[in-house]
Amino acid sequence: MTVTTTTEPRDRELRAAAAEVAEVAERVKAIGDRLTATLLDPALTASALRSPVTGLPALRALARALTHARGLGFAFGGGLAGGTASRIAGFLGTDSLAVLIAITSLRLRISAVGERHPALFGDPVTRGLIDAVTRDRDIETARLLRTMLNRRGVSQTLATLAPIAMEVMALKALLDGNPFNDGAAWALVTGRLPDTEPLLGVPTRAITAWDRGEGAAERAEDDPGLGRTGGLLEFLADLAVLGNNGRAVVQQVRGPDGVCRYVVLAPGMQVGRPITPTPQDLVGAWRNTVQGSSPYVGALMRAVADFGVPDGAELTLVGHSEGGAAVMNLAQHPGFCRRYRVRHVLAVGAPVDFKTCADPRTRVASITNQNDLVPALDGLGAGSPFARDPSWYVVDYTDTRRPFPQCHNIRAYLANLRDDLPEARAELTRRLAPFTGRAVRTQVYRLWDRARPPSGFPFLTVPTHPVPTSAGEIPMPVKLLDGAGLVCVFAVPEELVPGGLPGSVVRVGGRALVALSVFEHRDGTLGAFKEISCSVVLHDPWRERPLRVWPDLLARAGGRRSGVYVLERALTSDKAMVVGREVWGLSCSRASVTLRMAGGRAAVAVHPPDRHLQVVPAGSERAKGMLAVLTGTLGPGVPLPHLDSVVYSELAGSTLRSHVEIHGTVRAHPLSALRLRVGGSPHPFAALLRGLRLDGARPLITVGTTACQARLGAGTPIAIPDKELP
Amino acid sequence: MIPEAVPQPPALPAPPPVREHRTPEALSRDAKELAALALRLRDLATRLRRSGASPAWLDPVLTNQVVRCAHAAEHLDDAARLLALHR
Repeated sequence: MTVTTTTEPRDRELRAAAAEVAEVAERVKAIGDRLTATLLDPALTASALRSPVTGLPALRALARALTHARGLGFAFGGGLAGGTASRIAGFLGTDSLAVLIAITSLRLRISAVGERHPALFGDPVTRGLIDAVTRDRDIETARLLRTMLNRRGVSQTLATLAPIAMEVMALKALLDGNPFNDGAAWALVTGRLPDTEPLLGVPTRAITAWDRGEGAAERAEDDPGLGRTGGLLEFLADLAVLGNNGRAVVQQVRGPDGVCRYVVLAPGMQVGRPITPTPQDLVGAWRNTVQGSSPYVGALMRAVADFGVPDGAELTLVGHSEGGAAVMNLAQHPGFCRRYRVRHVLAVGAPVDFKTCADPRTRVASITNQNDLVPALDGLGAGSPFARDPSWYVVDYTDTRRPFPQCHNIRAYLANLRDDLPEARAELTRRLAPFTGRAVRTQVYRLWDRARPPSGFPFLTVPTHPVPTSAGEIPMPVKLLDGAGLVCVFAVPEELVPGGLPGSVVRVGGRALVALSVFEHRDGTLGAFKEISCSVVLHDPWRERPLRVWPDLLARAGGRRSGVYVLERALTSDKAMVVGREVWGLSCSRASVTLRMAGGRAAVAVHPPDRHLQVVPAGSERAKGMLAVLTGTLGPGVPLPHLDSVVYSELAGSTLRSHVEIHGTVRAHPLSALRLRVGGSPHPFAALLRGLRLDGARPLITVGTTACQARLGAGTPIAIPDKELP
Repeated sequence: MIPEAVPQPPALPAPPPVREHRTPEALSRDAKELAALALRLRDLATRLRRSGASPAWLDPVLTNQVVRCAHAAEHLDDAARLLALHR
């Protein structure tokens, strides 16, 4: 068994001594600051110049007191001039007596930690590292750190140093000659919340400023993995089920006395990008640690309000990591605590030592593993002699079986509480007894930094009307929320294009233009599906405009006369196929379609619907059954404002004109090196491509978009005059 | 064994604001404070040594700092005396 929770008498004595020495250090520093103010007083300088016989010796004595190597050392500090002098001293590496006393305090703290972590000093490398840091030997420090990393790996090195990480950082900050992180070092020494980070001295405001928003909570689908019973271990298990993906839970629990109470479960931050649209990110974690208000707090308040928790209801707030800091921020929000009665806060593996509850009746429990770095990020680590509120129930234990970062995982804390900390579990279970019972209602919320507009806003925020089809009523226009697409324009002999079109074909060099359009729709009215269509480009049905057709083809759909006529369309969705046939009268068939655009390359593969989706080399055995493959490089791109289209089609003897409006980042690739290969399949789509002699063809131009939204409007019947003489 | 609440000393009080200490009397007060701090460090070192809790490295370090505090107090006293003469 390697879990320990007790504090040794020597540990306590050393920590108390560290606190006392820290106080002495701070008072010596304050004397230096006052002495600086006296020496740099312009009135005193002027007076000394007026009476140099007595003035100059006085100034000299003040300067000696402030800089003597066997006295205060180089003790400039306080105010603008003192701060500047102190920074110069920092760059010169001159130490003051106050700094040396502060270092003594930190070394006492490290010794205290060593009482609970004997392996810390039993290991010669770690001992040497502490010694090198204490003596400000940067090269030796780097060498020993590299040795540790090489021998033990990152995880084990972090685990070894985790209990004394704050002390090592403070030592480094005091001694590294960088004056900008000295404030953080002094905050760590004296048990205050640092306002800069201790490594470089970057102000925490510069980091937390990236965590913007008022917080928002949207109801999300229930997670079947969530428990239906309230209780200490159940809450932690539910936090583990929620994971770190921007979700939180509000739960209504009927206690043993029949009274309904409420529980908020707030997980920690996501690993990955430091700034995400959810409050559970790195900048959010930092902000919740060092500040009281945050988007996370706002989001949780909105979730509680949306759940319908009645005023005055009893709440327990449970949070892990960043979530622990966020629920403590919630508990110190006076307005929230006036509206609800926050009975308990349970912060697990969270940096919460500087938080204070608005309601003094709120009972706080903090559970931390000393090998876990995260709870120490507010500056109060395992060796800290300072405690913010002695009324808290603190479970601060050591479990050497799980090094950092594994020990920070909520499942590790759950396992420790369940298996290794019976007294803590019993005590917390007793405290949470009124919140233990059947969960009457559980609501999962997805949290955001700021309220999000409706899906597809503003492009898809348009009125719709239902159109009956055999697949049910479909709201028109069809909205495609997120997709990607590629349109390749080929030139084919005009005589190969089928006749009976609602307009004459647009020609280039005597050849008709044919467009091959591939789209992947990831979300929308018709769900996720992919499609490929082959269309011929047509003039204004009433009049050919050989020159004006080109700017017309670049106009938005609403003002365009020219358009395309879809010869064949292959799709992956039955519903989309039905809608295509019954709403627009398009010739549709099923197929498997893949579209990939990345790294300046594009790859399209079309197979019969029963085939596995894969791009295969042209000419190979596996390519025999394919419908078509289009691969190659896209080449340089030129931005285009849109990718709109007008579709002419025939439905029940009428010619329809429909708008396809596509909004997104669109680029034209005039020098693309794509090549189309058509397979020998009897599928109508492959047959059409072969009929147009497109096998082996290269497009004249390619237009692509990797992120777009689309509106497919219903067709409007148009009466086109018969151009044939009677 | 889980302690109800880990017994720890309270956090330090916030430091006093840097005031305008430009009189000989203020310098004398600071000198006295430094002398008192030197005594406090010396007592702490003695206490830790007697209880057996003192790490091996602590005694010489604290002794040096006690001496420097005492020297600093003398420097401040000198400065206070000369400043009083000037005023």
